Amino acid sequence: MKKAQIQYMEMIFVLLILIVIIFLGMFLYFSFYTKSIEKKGEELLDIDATILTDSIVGMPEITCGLNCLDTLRIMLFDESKDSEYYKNIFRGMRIKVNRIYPTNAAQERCTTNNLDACGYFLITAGNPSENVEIIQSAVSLYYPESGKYEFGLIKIEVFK
Amino acid sequence: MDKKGVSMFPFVMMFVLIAGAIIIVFFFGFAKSVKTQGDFVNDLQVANLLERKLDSFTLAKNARNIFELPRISEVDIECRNGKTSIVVGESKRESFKLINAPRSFDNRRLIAWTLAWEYPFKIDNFYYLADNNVRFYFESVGGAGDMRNIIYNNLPTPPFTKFDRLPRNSLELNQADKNIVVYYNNRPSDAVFLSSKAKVIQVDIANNKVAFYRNDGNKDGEAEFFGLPMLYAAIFSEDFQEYGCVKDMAHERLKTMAAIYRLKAGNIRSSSECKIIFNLIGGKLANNDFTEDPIGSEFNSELSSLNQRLKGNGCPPLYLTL
Repeated sequence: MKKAQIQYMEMIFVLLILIVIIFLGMFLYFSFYTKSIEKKGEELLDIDATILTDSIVGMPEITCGLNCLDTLRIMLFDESKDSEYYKNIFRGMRIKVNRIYPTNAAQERCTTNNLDACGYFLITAGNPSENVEIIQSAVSLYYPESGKYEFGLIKIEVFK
Repeated sequence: MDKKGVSMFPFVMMFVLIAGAIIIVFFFGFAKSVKTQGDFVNDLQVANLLERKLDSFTLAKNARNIFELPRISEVDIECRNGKTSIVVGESKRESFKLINAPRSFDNRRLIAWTLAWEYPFKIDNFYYLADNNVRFYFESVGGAGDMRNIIYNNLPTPPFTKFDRLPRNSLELNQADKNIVVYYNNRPSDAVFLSSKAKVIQVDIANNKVAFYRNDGNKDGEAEFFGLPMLYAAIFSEDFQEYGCVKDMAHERLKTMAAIYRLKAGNIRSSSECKIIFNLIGGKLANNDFTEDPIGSEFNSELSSLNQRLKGNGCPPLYLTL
């Protein structure tokens, strides 16, 4: 091969290396960018769930004031609601309210018949899935029959 | 290749040009997708922020505020298939709030107002959004105690811009991006339809009906309203379809709330004295189809007084007044 041909070959080789490096750089940048988008998506999902928690705690169907839930209305809500309409609202989430204080060892779902020995109220059962994001928030639980208040934890499981 | 005079330069140039073009196309596409995704995320953040700000109104009976958005965004409120959506650019946030807005906004400052809808127990809040480019014209305001007077005076100003007269001409109408013209007794005049920036409605207070007019002067539709908050929903909504959708959502909530309170009245464990009042309430709720305007209605005042009786007798109240 002549010298000039060798020089051309070298040039092509350098260009090829350069292109490979550029593509490698683009690939790395793209993968980092995708990761940052995924992170942003998770952050938005968190914000979405937090907003939803506030909205649900403030729903006139079950609220009794700021961060307060009327337990009797939670229990009756399930019987009264048009499930199709509320399916749009809850978007498949599972929402339950655990009784925290006074401490209670019971694990059963609360109904109008077992209020003295139950562990949680269910607002909506949702569609259980493995991939969930759980948002929790402290609430007051109001018992209209006795006029008493308890401390509870609303737990919203958002399916990704 | 070994021949003298055959140069590789054109091939190298072609190679460089093709590779360069591929790289440019890739970067261009990549930059475009970065911008689209960035805009989408920013728009979604604005929509989330707006919903958050509206959330702060949830427990209010009557409240207003000016929302400062982080940037100028095109904000639109839609109501489709039983849910409202806050649309910002390409992003959409679904909501179950009863939100009404007369137009899409491209303003950093949005005026928000809320009224609680009660029957007499609280059903939900109606939310009204506008900006300073929306003006309200009322045909007449009547005297003190007149419903027209209440409708006019309840609309808070500032922040809203309202007039107790009809627009003088189409020039005046063109000064704002949206003009909401509310007629009562008279049929809307043709002059008001000359501007495409006018939304014309006619309120029949006696029959709780509101008629929506198209820009060609023909009626788009007519619907009922139950209570002042729902009438303002008709005033603030973009058109007849949007109002119909929000009204149906509100009725769905009303049915659920009434059912919850009916069950509550039937299930609550209390003394026999309280039970008598709860049974009366249960009967009233079961016999009502909720098609009556709650303002001044017999049902409303009876239920309020029964709730007061419960409180007076030391019974748990049916509903709490927040």
